Amino acid sequence: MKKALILLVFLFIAVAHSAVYAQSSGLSIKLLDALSFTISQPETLNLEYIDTGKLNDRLIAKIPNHITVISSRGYVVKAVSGASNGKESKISLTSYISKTNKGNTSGLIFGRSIQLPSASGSAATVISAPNTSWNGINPENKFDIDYSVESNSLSGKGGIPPTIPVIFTVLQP
Amino acid sequence: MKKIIISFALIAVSLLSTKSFAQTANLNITISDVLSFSVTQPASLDVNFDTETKYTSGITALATDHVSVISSRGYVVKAIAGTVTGSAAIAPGSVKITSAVGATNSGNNTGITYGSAVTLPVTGGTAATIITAANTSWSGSNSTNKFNISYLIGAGGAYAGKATGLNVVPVVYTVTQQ
Repeated sequence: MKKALILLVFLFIAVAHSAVYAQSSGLSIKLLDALSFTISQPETLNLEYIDTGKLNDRLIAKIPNHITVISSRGYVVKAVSGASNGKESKISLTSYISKTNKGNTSGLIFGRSIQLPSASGSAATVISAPNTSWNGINPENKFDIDYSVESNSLSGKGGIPPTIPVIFTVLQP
Repeated sequence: MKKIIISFALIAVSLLSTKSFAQTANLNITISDVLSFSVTQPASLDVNFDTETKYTSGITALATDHVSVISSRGYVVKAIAGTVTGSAAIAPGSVKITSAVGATNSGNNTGITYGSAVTLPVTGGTAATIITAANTSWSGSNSTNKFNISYLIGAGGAYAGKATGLNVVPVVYTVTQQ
């Protein structure tokens, strides 16, 4: 017992005499906003004719993975019409999460049948995301967009089918 | 002839009567532990997250010859986070530390084990081992072991969605002799 006590005392002294030195260094990490945004332009649009039995029959074009957003924080995607050679305000947009999306879907709000404002109007909100698009290592949110067009608004001037630019913007609130 | 004999006799007597004395001096050499340690603060440790790639892949900040150790025997270098400041409440675990032999090291590098992608522990946790040296840092007349340290900061989108602004993650290193 006595030997054990002596051994413990020696061990304590040995540990107490171990020299330890400390130094520190600081990592200065500045977080800034990161935002990028792409719109695909499919070569062909497959239009689906919806016969409502009324005058306002519609053609619907479904575009998968049409909008891609990478944002370090919440964001809003808006749309407005560009200068058109057809009748305006006859297009509506509906947004969906894409099947190939791997980004963060928490809190996403999708616009349903949003009337596309005229070129002189205020852009309408199509997608609202309160959080970052990152989901772990996956940075991108991908969205499908359905364009719905009243069939009777497709008669352009002089019989030429109208071209209706749609201008999307993304911003971090 | 007689004179020569007398001379030889005198020389012989002279030689035989030379006294010899011997003394011993002891060198008392006490070998004690020697340990010193320094960590630099290079500009490369100031990083900005401002692109998609940085948020996704993180930023690798390399500090060459960041840690210097002089030790008369084997030693261990450990690291732990200090108190993190900034609006983003960055988790120390988002920093990974990898050590390597220093760019200008001329010390002894036999028996050194380097840490790879070691997660920086939070304050109050257990410090993580970054370098283990089984032997002294001396290599002949070269006393110092120098080490490069690379910090992988914020990989895997760890900082996406956090408040923008400046944050500081102190890294506290300690060295102990084995």
